[in-house]
Amino acid sequence: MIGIGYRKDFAEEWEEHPDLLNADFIEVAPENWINVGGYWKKLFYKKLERYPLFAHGLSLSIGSPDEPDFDFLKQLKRFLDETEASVYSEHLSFAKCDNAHLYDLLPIPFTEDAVKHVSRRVKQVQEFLERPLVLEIVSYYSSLAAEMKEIEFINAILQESDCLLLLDVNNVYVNSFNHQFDAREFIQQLPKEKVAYIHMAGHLKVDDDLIIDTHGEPIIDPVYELFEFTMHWLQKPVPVLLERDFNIPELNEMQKEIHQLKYIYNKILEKTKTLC
Amino acid sequence: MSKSTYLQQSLLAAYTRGGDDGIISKLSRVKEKGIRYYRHLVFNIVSDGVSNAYPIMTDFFGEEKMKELVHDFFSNQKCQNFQVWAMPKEFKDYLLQYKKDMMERYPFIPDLLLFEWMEIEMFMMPDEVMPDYEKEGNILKDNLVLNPEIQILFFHYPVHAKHPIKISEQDKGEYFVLMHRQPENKDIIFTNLNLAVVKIIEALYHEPLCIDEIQKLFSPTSLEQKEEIKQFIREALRSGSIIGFQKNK
Ligand SMILES: [Fe+2]
Repeated sequence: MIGIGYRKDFAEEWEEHPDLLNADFIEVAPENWINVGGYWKKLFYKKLERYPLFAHGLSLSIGSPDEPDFDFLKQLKRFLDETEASVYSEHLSFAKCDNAHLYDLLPIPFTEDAVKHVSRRVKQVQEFLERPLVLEIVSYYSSLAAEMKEIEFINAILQESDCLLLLDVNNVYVNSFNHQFDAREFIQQLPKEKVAYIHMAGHLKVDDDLIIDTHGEPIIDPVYELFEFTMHWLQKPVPVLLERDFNIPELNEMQKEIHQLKYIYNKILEKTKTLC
Repeated sequence: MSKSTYLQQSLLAAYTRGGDDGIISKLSRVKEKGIRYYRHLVFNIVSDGVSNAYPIMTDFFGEEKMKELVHDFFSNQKCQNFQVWAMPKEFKDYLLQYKKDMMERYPFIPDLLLFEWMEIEMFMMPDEVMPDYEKEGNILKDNLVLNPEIQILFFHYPVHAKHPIKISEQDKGEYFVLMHRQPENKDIIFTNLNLAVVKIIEALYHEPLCIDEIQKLFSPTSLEQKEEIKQFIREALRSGSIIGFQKNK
């Protein structure tokens, strides 16, 4: 299953030319659609008739020191129910602190107490939403007051809470470049059985030692290779999403990327089947 | 969560909101370059959101001045809205509350902020339940049904009609503008109103009325005024601020 991040930027074009882009599901950020009516809702609901929806949130801020925002959670739950979203994923980061939204994803300190805090929070959210939470490994440009490695932090949360993992292969690539570690080794240390969803995207190298996860460029070959490696390691079908948020190209360009992902995905899974 | 973990998160959040370089040295075990990038990314998201929401105001003040305003806003305002598209409303409210000097110097700014924001708010707002109506009917006999996705704005300056650079004190007056979301294509349409027409909208807002009843409300004296009312209604039916005719009157 290969999906596409549904954006207003290309919603009209896709509606006019539905055959230019063939995906198995669409993903949206609930925050961009909650309580939205009018023109956008009309277009979005037309797509919902045809495609299963994966919801990928932005403002849950699971690592926030603040109390959860139950009013937001209520609206979120209504949205997930109404749209029959099959998956709800979010970021392992924080985007709100001291009662102020920051509208971006900041790194949670890799500390023992943050593990406990986030795990407690995950349980609270899952209980409230009555569905599992799938947490994404985010890209980060600096760690903050870290007392352990990123992989230890992620694994501790996965173990302590019962959430699932969204493995963003591009983010692992970006992090391995920015923080000088081996991406393959990192992936191999993750608990395979927890991987429920994969993200693939492009990024931008802004300096010799810094890559920014822009979702504004095509996927580069080393990230495709890391995806192939990941599928080999996983040996199971997991939904994969192509994320493209900026610099939206022609739809057929995105379709080429979907094809490429599908090709790798099928190739590996076919092999797995024969091995079985 | 421990105090020290909280403090580090709080400092990083404060740095991304206000960009105070003095904070960086208080952050433990960070890469300065990466931390500076966070500020850059957060500020750009907010700044782009604001200038996209207020293109006329941005054109009037220029990018630099707008960035100053955004910096002032985002450093001081604790944004409450979880939806980034709705954050510019908080920018408007912040300026109205704290930038009195600016409002005195440019007295049309409150109107301009409202005009630009309301277009977004109405474009995005949840769908109202549409009353039962028929598209075809007799304009002289049937009751008229108002579009529920409608609002009347009142301005002191004609920000809907003139670029702010051309607005002067001589323009100060009373301007009523009808805005509605077109029922089919969901576009936002602005229409100039005079006071008499404002009353028609208000009357229709309470219940569907036919043209005779509307005319009785205003007892128009001249044939010309009667014609004006009819003309408005025809135009409103065409543009969708009146959606149609009541069923089974
Ligand atoms: Fe992602």
